[in-house]
Amino acid sequence: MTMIERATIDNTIIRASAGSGKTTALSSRFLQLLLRGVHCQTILATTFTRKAAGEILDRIMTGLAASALDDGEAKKLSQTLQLAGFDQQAARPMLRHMLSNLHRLQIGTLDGFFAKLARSYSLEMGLNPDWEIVEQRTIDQLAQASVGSVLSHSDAIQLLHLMAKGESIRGANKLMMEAVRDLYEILLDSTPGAWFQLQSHAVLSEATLSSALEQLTAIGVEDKRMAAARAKDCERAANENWDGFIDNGLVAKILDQTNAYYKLPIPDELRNAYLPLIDHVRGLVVNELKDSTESTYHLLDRFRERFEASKTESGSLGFNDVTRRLVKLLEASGDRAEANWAHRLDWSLDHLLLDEFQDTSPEQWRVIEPFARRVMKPDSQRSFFCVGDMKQAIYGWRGGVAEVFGLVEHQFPDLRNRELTCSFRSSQVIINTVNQVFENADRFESNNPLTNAVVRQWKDRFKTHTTAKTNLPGYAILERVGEADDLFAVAVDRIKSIYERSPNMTIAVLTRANTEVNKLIFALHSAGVPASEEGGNPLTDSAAVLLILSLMQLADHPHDSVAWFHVANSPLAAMVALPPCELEREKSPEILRHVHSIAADVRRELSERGYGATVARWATVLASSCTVRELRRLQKLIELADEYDCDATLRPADFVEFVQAQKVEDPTGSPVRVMTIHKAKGLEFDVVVLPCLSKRFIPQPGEVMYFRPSPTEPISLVTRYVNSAHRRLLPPTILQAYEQQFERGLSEAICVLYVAMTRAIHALHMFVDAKESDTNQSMSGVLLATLSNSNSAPVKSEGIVYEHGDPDWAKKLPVNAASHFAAVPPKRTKSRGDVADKTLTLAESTTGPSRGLAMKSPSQMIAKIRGTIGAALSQTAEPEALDRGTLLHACFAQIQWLDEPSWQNGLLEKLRRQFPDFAKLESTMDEFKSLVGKPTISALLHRASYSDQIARRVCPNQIIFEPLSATVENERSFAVRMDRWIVQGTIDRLVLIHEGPSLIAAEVIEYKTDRFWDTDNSMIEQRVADYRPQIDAYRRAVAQFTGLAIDRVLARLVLVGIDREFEVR
Amino acid sequence: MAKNIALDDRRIWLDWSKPALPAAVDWLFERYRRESVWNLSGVIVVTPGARSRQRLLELLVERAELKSLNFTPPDFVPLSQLPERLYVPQHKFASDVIQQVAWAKALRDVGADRLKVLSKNVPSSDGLFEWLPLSRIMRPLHVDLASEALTFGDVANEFKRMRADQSELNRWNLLAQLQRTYYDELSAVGLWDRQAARVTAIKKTECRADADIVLIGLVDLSRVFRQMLNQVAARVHSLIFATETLREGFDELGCLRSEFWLAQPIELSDDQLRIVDRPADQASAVIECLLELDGQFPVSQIAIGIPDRSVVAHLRRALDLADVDSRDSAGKLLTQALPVKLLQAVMEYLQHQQFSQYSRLIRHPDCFDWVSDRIGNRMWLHCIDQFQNEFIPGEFPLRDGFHLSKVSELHDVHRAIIDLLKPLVGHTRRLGQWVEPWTNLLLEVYGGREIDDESSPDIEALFACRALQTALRLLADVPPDWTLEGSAGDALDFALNQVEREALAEPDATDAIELLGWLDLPLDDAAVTIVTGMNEEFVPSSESTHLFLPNSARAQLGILDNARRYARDAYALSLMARSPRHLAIICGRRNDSGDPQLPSRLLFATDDQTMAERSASFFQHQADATSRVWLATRTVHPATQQFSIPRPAIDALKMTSLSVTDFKQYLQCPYRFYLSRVLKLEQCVDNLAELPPFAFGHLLHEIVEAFGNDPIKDSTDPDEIRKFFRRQLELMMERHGEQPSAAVRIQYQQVRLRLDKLADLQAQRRRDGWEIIEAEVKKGTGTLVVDGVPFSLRGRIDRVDRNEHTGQLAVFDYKTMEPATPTDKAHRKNGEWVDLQLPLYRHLIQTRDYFVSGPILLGYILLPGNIKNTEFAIAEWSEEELRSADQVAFDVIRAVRRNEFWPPADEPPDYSEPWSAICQDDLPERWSTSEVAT
Ligand code: SF4
Repeated sequence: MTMIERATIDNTIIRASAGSGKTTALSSRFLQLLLRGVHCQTILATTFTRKAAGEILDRIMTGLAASALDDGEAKKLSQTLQLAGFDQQAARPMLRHMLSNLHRLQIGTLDGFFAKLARSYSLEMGLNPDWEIVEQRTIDQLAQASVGSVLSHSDAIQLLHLMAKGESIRGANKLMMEAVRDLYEILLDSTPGAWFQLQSHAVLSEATLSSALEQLTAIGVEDKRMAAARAKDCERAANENWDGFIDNGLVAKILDQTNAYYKLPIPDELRNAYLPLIDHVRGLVVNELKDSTESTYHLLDRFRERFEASKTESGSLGFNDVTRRLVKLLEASGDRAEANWAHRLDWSLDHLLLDEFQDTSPEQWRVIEPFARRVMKPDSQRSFFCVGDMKQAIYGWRGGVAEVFGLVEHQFPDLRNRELTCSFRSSQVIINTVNQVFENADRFESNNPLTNAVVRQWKDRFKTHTTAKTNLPGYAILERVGEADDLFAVAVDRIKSIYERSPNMTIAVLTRANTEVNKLIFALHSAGVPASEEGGNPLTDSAAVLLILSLMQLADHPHDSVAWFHVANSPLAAMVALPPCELEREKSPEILRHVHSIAADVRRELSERGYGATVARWATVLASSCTVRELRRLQKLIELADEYDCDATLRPADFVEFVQAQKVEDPTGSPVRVMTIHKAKGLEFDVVVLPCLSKRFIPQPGEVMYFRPSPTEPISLVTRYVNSAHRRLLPPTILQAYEQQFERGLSEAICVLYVAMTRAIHALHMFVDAKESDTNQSMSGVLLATLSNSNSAPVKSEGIVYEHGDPDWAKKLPVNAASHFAAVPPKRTKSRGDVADKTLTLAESTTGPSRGLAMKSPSQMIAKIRGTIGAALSQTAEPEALDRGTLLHACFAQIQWLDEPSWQNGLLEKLRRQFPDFAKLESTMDEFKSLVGKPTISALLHRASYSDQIARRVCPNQIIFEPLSATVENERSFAVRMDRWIVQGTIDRLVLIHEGPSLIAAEVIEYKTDRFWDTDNSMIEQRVADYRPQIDAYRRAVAQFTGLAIDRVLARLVLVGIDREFEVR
Repeated sequence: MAKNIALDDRRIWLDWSKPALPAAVDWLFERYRRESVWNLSGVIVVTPGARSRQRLLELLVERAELKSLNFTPPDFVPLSQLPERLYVPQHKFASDVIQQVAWAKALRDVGADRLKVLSKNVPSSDGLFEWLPLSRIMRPLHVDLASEALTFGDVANEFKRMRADQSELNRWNLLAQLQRTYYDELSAVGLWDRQAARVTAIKKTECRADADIVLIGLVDLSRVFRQMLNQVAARVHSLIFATETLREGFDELGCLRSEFWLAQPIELSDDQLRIVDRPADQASAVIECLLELDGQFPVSQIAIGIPDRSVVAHLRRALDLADVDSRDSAGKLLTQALPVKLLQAVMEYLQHQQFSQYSRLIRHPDCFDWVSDRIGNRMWLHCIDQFQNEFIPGEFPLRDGFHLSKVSELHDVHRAIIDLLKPLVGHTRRLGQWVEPWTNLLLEVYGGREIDDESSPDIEALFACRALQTALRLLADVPPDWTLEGSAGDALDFALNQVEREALAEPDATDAIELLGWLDLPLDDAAVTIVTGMNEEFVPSSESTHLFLPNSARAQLGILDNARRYARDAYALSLMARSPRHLAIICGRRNDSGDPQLPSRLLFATDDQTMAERSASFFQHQADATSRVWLATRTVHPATQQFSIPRPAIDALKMTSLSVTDFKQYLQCPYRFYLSRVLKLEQCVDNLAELPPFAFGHLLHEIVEAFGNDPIKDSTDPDEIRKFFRRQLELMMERHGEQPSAAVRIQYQQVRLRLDKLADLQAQRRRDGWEIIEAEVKKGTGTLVVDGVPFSLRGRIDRVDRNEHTGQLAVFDYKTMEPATPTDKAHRKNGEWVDLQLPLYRHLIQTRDYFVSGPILLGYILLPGNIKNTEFAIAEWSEEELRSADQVAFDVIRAVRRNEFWPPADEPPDYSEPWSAICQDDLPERWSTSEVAT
């Protein structure tokens, strides 16, 4: 190793703004390490999606490849990435190193890495080694089952009732499933104590309450309005309308500390009289909340027991489960762990490269931390590197806690800290707009101080962006759509014109929710703009698919007249001969019976041919009436069906559910793409259109409020959600929880806005809705406040609020901007001819040497498998009988001629060899000896007697010039070709008869050793007849390999049991 | 040294520029043919797999025919059985099943607490069956090592030598002891472990061969095989397909030397290589390759290699659509066969006897047919749905006596099922004792089936049944005193575990393209070979995680490791590249779920330049976004949606009456009204976890109806009323049988809470002088005269009250929706009538005898979730408001008279999901109704 290589690499944390080249930074770090001779296996590089991981690898490999091919490229690379001493010569070995270690690379997702860890520790984690990561669908099924058992607890009803704050909801199961969906993750991430933070609060008794009221009414009040208000308050209190009580009149004023009514101060005496009542209400609220929260905990906790157990038993885990179990494992094993890990994982993990760090969840960090500590030990040859952007932390709902980012800095003070704010993506115009919005964020004045605080915080954290792409033309516009117009319509209109003006620009329409994606797609389609949908929808957005699903549904429920009607009015009806679904159906059982049998047939086809094959068949029926989009969807359905076949159930309805649950993208290659902002993260587009800004971004009230003392600590306080009115009555700790949650939600919402805007390379089109009532609740508010040119209050009028850059930017495009990693013109691989229109023809199978002939034993090839399955099964005799048969045959095989007694020599030993574990060896031997003593058989097996017979049989009326000689081949195996089969078999005893030197005949002798033989003649005839075809096959075979004429091949069937033989001719 | 030379002679170099197997045939011909006799009877021939064995025989026969020889085929021995041909086992071998159980026994005997070193959760019980899961980990590890002539003890020592982490040592020491116990268990019952027996034979140099042994292209033999063969080296001939210049790459027996092949370049030209995006695209690439053959080759001369199974489905679809038959040599997994699925379904149902499992079982085609034959009726499935919807059973126990009587067919069905499954119920017994009941069940369902050996389903069923029969039989061999006990399910589960990986071969075919596994390719002599899935993890495969033996340890121990895996595949690919054939290699960029895949390392075993170019073209390969559409082949496609929304068939249909609730439906959407109210289409479900809202409401209605028709309706005592309600509720509850699902039970309690509250209000209301004069007016009918023609109105009124003092009438409808919707909000959306129920009651009530003209109070009795809001809510509509409602009703009636049910409303109304498929609600390309509307 040279000097440079030994020098340690400093541990770095990078805050990289959008487009500032996170991936580049990470890839170059990777290359640096390689250049220093680090083995690629010891570098763990993780990010959050497999796709992103793939991009990192692509980046590294293309970079290396390009450099390996061309020194110029290498030099370029070494500059942009500050890779001292990197050139073509260096690149080649590095590339080879990577390529020959592809199977060792540790570039992937954090989840993937954890899964790998967990694999090798399955046993220690108490998992059955064949556990697997399963789809949400499977987990939901387990959840449903567990919920069932939770509900069957005797006191479930009370708990549910409390949980629902006294409501007697219609659907217990529904309620519980929702609780699980919304709260289970929180339960797992909180200390048990967290749910019991509320102290119950005293309430007034009937008596004291009414006396308190009397006191209140007793007090003299001069001011008319105040008196009236007080009267109303008392009335509300009297008929226990407590919500009204605290929301109105003097109470409201007292609670919000105003303590004045219409500017008139509320006398202390009066105020004090109110206090006990207010406190009473507080009691009611707190206690209800306490009950609701605690019973929620109890229900969920019970659920947890069942649920986690069932996941472990069935070995079906989600990625979160893996992470959590790893955390447990770590806690258990402590420091010893990592040493051992190196052994189990088979590589020591020396360099950490973590991407998208802001999306790391506390649990995930808990697993990484020990590794991080280890690599950051001073003067270890190891290193730590992480990169992320808190401004793009939009995955809170997936457990990501951006603050982990900050925490790491503070946990490891000597981390080298870098900030990248220079974009390599966006034009100056875009960057300016982004700057203007976020630097002036504080111009946005919400009526909610919390909101303002968060926004200001954001502004303070925001560093002015610059761009390397100053030469790019750009355009940004904020439009306010008038009361009269429909915002989407206008947006679609603009998109249309942009698309028509610059058809080869990539245009992204970014929405907040998937539902909007569909709306827009529909709108764009109808406007004649071919938009590509990337939200990923269930295939149920295709008419053809729906038809097929209906047929499935009908197969599962023959009485489902909706499905029946749907299919009956489609091309599929003819395919399955489905009668029309008219009113008459109710009258005629025949029709119904018919439908039922159709359903049965479909079910059978599905389980015999498989879903893939069946759906494919149906699809071809529909294909001709399908638009190209329909075809694409149909094709995806076939692919799903094929996938489904692996674990297909017996119910078509299950398949329908499966399809409904799968989100399948439909990329069309169209330059106009519609997707959610979350989906757009990490992507970039020439033009970005944001039509969904007028949407309340202040987080919707959640199911609970919770508090996390520090990013990596578990949640320490949880209560069910309460509305603002009630919140005023709660202890500060709860408010704190509410606020923390609110802040997190809000700043995430702003992150979403930031991500959305920074996707744009050239142009950014933003729309806000004039119909929107209060803009201080939404992104549009922020934009209006910051972009409306004047510090005066945001314009209320419609039209263009903000415009920057050149609307005709597209005309001014330079050829194309170079990226960091130059690409090599791809090697000439075969051009992909359009298969669709060619038709495939292959040569006729020639008669000549053909492959894949069927192998058959004589019995198979002649006797078709006849009779019932039952019969066939009973034929597979008991092993016991089998052994005896084979043993007897083996004995016969030892005999050339009985005249030569030598056959007995060492017979038993020979057989022992063949049948080490056959118990009845001796006894069977004795049986055999008695058999060969019987007249027929012994005549057959003595040379003398046999020769006499054979002479007569072979040539009855011929003169024999030379004496006949007979040679024996026992267990003569053969293989010959008979038309389309290779026939293979063994002949028990083949006797070849020569006249002098020349072979003139042969005889096949077949022993049948069945013990209990029916002596009734007709039966025997029958059995013999059964065997005839097989024996014939033998004769044909012999004729073939001996070259004898078939009539020169004799055959005899010997029924050993009864010492009888039958000539087979 | 002499020995070595002797050994060296064992290697026969067959030039790999000729097809492998034919070359082997040449050799066998040269060596063993005597004039017209070609007698291979004595000769033991071993090939890498069944596939090459079959092909070799084919070629031998062909040659014999050609030269018209008296041919005796050799003695083909599967590699796995070769050892037993070389020595004489002294005892009976333990079957896989028995080995499995022996391991379980060993584990149990070593004891839970000692096993803690190994696994976090170990069975608490002594039941042997509990221990099987763990044993499933031990056995493969044992086989893996034993085939390399290593004991767990050896590994433990090696680890000690390597100074492995203490925790690892502890594990291996324990494992070592486990293994010893395992052997003891076996010998205790006079059985032998196959691997152990072989190792002993080697130690005692017992191996003998009285025949020639010809190894054909066996380049990767585990240690046990190598050592045995070395003992009979004199009779061994190892045919190696390579030029002798590569002798460094092979050991004396012709097995590969990893280090050599790791460094060996593989000569592939770039135009043999295709990089495509996803498995579907790999399929298309194959078709392209075939197209480029320009029909020179027959299907029988084309083989497609399938290292990555995820390509198969796509490929077969693609070939189907191109009308090319294909044969998957991997066959069909036994577990996919119907008989197996039947037994599994039975097992699952028996375990928990849940309704969901029952409803699966009865839909098994063969089970369905069997039942139908039994009850002589094929039209009964709907009864199951009906039953589910009505009673929402959690369990569906395997016994008579819970209330099926309502749906009599179901009753018969269940009786049949009970007869079928009874023998399998009951407590744990020796697994062996379950063999018969299971086999009988198979016979009962399949026994009678006539086999038509042209129909593959029949053959498949037969073979599957056979396989099951044998698998089950093995259970009977377990030594009785081992007392392996469990339920019928356990027995089956165990049996199936043994046949999990078995497959049912597809029928041989000379006129189909063969889909071959990677290992079958090198020796295959097809003229065209197309290899798909040339990606890392498939070719070469590599093990990245292992519970006990990470790769480095395996390397240390000199057993199968990633290097050897690479060598094997590197040689295989080299062989393919060298032998004269049309070779195409396809390499995928992403898998089915769109995740990136890595290219095979083999593709880069070449000079720097090519390496760099290839990696460039792989890693910057851009997929064209559009996924290929196979279905599009050879058809023109419409630009607009062709699947229509069926027009109403209205010939001669005349509606002469409507129910009061129909109007709302019609106003929302005439077409959906037509579907639901005219055609009365209904959707079936059977997955209700609890009472759906309407059923929940229905339940309440039934109770209050009973109340309204019972003398108690005049009670002013809330408690009395409450008691009545509860009694009713209990009666209702009984319908759900003994075990209604927990959710349902809870729902009933929810209903109770609402009724309790109602009781108070009702008592009060009675005190206020309101008496119920009618409840649930059954066939309330009224008449509206529209355009001079009477039109009749149907509808049931929940309840009519009269004030005993004023004679004032009040008409009520019970509402359970939450949150409670006040009357007017429910009936009018910004001024427009959207529902006419209450107003129309005015007309219904006129026909009642107690009716006296004069204003009538209309209202809801709200029973919402939040009991606080329970109330008698009276609507405050003025007379002309009500008349305007009538006008709306008239319009609807006129429209209905004109049969106007078209077009469907564009915005689907709430709760119209059932119709969404027919009405194409969520389609970006909706069928335009407008053009047809007029
Ligand atoms: S109780 Fe149930 S099973 Fe028994 S007869 Fe009545 S309905 Fe049939």
